[in-house]
Amino acid sequence: MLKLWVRGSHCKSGLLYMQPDACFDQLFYLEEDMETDFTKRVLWECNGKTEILNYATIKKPTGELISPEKICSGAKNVLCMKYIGNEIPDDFKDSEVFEGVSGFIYDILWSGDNCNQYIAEIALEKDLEVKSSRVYQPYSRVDLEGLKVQIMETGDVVTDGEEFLDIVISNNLWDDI
Amino acid sequence: MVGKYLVRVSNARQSVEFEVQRKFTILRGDSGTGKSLLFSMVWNKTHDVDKSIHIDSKVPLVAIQGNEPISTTRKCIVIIDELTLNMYKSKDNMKSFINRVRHAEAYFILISRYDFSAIPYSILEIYELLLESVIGKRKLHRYVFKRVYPWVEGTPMLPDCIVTEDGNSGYQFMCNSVSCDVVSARGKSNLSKKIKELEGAFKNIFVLADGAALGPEAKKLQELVQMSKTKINLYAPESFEFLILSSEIFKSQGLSSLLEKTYMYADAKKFMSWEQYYFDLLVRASKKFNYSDAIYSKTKLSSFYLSDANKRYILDTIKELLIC
Repeated sequence: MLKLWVRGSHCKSGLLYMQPDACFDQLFYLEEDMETDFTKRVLWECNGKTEILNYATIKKPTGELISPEKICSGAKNVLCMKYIGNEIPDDFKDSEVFEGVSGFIYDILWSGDNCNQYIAEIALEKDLEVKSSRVYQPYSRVDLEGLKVQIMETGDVVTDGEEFLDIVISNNLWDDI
Repeated sequence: MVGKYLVRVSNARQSVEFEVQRKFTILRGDSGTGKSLLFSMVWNKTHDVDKSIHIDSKVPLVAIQGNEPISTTRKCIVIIDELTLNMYKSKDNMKSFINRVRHAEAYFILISRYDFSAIPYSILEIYELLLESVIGKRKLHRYVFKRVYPWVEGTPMLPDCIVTEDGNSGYQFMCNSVSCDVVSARGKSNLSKKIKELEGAFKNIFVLADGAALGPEAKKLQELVQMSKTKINLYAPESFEFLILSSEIFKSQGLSSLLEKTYMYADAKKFMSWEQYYFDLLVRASKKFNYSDAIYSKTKLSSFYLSDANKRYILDTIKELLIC
């Protein structure tokens, strides 16, 4: 299920928000996660048709070779949602950097609508809590069945875009977002 | 600052070409399209970090990050990245940003998906980057700015209900000119909610809103219109004042150049949006008539504009509205 704080500023969950570049560059780096089918699809669709040659090398359509740190923020955001999720990785649980922090939350602001499909895939597989500082309709450009979205401000659980819009607009959740 | 400026930013592998003509241009869209790359190319050129970057522009194009000062006296195009703009999301910080840019002699390109409800940007000036061509063995990628919400001529509609953005002159005009229901949304930020409320009661809803400052509402309205089972026609000319100026009422004053090439006249230092410019222009133009009744007021539309002839002239400018 996707647990969505529609008004990004009203997130009450106590999770730590990390900007995707910081989160990815510091926390994401299990080599096997860079070479999965999911990552390959995300980098193709959400990072300008780039191809993974290996866990450390990505080829751009211009032929240029880049390292994973140069992936766009939107793709990094999605990969962090998938491979780190809302919980602090075991390796970092004792780190003083995350003392008092129960987990992470991600902002959809950094990901364009071409990432919606992949966010939905993640949410079908596990509970994922996110917030959105932009107007985000989680069913837009998604062709998967069965996605449930919990609107955290009201507690409502919806199953399609029409229901989602009904609740968001009638509760003014997109006002001054 | 006035004018329309064609800009080209390039290095050996990619080029981005775009045109700016208003105070605010928004660049957003899908992930991985090259927005951050564009910013970093301009930033590296601005700070002389990369000499391989070439910027072709009649006025300086500069990139700003963090709290770097924004020049208010030098004519330039300023591009600001999403990380920096993220700092301005709170109300207080946004106020501070608007104060910094209000009287700047500059056009601003804001790279962000954030809606910036406090900034009056046009629905026509929201762009995404489009890969237009790949050239040669070295695969030079050529990108252009593409409008996210282009002006599209729609099928004329005979509505059951007309929704206006606010309760001012546009609403007053419609109440006096059509026989179907006319409802005011009482502000552009209420448009989505008002349309949703009316969906069940009407089959054909015509929405009249000021496009010149409707940018912040564009995505919400797009989601609503796409999902709705009711037929909704969103008609967003520059502003209601623009419609009046375009009509036969003011034909004798020869304003066509000011309306077709507004970028040559609407000084970005004085007007945050073209909506403000058209209002100012209409007030000045209306004072040239010999009767005081003709002087335009946004809050109270005078009977001059509600005569049968003048109503007809104004309605003739709204091509997509069939009279009910």
